[in-house]
Amino acid sequence: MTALVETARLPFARRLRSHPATRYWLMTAPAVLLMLVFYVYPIGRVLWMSITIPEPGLDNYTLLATSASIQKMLWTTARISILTTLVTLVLAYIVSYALVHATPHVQRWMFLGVVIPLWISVLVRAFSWFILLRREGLINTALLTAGIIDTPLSLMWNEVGVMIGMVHFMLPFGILPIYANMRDIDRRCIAAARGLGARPFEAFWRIFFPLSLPGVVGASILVFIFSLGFFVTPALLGGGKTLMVAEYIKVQILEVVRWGVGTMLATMLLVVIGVLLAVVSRVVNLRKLFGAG
Amino acid sequence: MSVSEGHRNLNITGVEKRFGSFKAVDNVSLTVERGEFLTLLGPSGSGKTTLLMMIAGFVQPDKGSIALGAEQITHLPPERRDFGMVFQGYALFPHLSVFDNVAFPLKVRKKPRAEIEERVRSALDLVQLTAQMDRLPRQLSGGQQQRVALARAMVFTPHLLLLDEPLSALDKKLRAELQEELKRLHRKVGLTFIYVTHDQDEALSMSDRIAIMRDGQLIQHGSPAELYENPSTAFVADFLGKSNFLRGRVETHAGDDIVFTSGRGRFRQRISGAKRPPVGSEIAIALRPEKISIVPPGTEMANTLTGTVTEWNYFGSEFRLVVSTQSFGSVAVAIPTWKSGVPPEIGQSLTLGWDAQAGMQVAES
Ligand SMILES: Nc1ncnc2c1ncn2[C@@H]1O[C@H](COP(=O)(O)OP(=O)(O)OP(=O)(O)O)[C@@H](O)[C@H]1O
Ligand SMILES: [Mg+2]
Repeated sequence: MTALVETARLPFARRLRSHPATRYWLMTAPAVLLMLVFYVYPIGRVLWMSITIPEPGLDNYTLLATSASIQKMLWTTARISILTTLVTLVLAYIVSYALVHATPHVQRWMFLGVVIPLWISVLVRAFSWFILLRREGLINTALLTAGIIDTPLSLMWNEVGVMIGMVHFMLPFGILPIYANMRDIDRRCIAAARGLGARPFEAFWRIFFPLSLPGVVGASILVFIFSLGFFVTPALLGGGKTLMVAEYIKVQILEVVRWGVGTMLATMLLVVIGVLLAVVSRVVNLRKLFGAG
Repeated sequence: MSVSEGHRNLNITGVEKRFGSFKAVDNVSLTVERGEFLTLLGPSGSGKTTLLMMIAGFVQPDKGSIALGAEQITHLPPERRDFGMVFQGYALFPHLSVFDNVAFPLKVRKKPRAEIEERVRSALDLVQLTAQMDRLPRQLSGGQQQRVALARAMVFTPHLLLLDEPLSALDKKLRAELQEELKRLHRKVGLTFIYVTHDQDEALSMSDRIAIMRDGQLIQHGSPAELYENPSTAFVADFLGKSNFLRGRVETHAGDDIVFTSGRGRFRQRISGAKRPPVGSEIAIALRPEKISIVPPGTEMANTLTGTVTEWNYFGSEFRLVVSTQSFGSVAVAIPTWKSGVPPEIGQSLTLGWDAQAGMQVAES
């Protein structure tokens, strides 16, 4: 305590030098402030509104148990998010596997292919799918003229369309953690497995696959959490029929002006994501997963 | 763990491996006898690992063949060769316990559970790691990891064991211990070992036979003593133990000796029979530092040479001097400490002497 008072009396510049910790705090202060103003405060407000509007109490939360439409929407959200995550993981795994085994030259081009979509607006991408998936779109026309189908497939305005668009959006987020993990797997382990008598698939299944699991877990949290809160693609490719939680919240707040319900759902989303992260962080090292330390 | 019956020789015939236009292994032929401890020795980049990888089946030779006894294995995939391999850095499976690492080769061979249990235990017994059975590789010391790799490579009684610089990552003391242990293991199980190293002391102390490689070629092979006493080229003489090279011109033949000159000096070297070079030709004699002694001036001896000490180092058991001479430039000399009496001094002049049989005629290059 006295030490603290002493330090406080030191001239500012000297205190900086004598206490490296102070310096770091000062350096992160702007960021901390920014976080407080733009994250903690609004989130606090959201939480507050969810238990005060229209009147104080947990009425909004009881809707979770009573409202059939909310339950249906939550179930849709969960189903689409889980399916999107699964499909994305499978595709991302295959792409990452090809990536780590490609020659450096091919790898560069593949990387470009993975990263370029990240630079293109979600809106543009959703509309591109629009062009491909429509009833008279490229895919249906091609299949019809090839005689493979005789009535156009409904590829959008439904969950299929939403999932196609979402998987496309999520792929880079699935690929990057899996690739980063696979890159660090010691190739000699695979060679060793072969040398010890494992056929190529066995070496993959018993050695490579288990070693790549941390990347898969990381990718799955990332993709699942993104999917839960995804707005643009479901709104556009779902055509208002496939309602997921983000769009539902928007409708509650902007259209039917039920702030209480909207903020309650937002709070729920936050809690679910928090719990997910907490559970997963017990299994894998999140800091390492997302590239820190 | 005993050597399985059908143990056979490994015959390598004229193998070659190119990377682009570069020959990493160039026309190597070698037979490895069953139960033998063969060391591939050579400087970095000489193609040792590439040759070992071809034997293991990870690299396909561009030319030549590899056979186990009468069976051609040149194009057999690694998992069907039944060779144990210890990689540089061990390549233990990081997610499997010591037990499961060692059990791996048996599991992929679909052995019954009880048999796996029993064989893994006896393999771990052999390398004294039974107590660490449930640990993960990262919880082991370097030496323990090496022993796990060894147990894993031997547990399925392979036809032969390939080891790529298994000790290079360890410190000197542990290395010496594990060298002993490897040697003991080799004697005990009687398995064929093909061992890669670029450490000449390791090669000399451990091997039944050494094959020396350079630039992808097999330069010479033979027992350690053979190679040490009769190196065929200056390269081998210098690589396997240090050597001085005495270069000169043959003046006359005198009995069993030849007399050659260099600078103002005349020297004798025992070379008889077919290898004897004609008078007037240039020769190179390799002379080990420890075969030279310091003699009182004026001593009658086959060869004497005067010079001044330019450098000396103390190595506990011996002094190593560099003596500058008129005939041969710098000459390295190793004197057992107990013989030298007083420490040498820089600038001190002294007389070196050696017998006519001390040197070895070597080919240049
Ligand atoms: N995959 C490869 N592609 C191209 N060149 C290679 C490849 N593998 C090895 N080489 C080259 O072949 C030569 C022999 O390599 P090798 O690994 O067999 O040497 P080494 O004797 O094991 O050396 P070290 O003692 O350093 O391990 C080297 O010049 C190396 O650069
Ligand atoms: Mg090597």
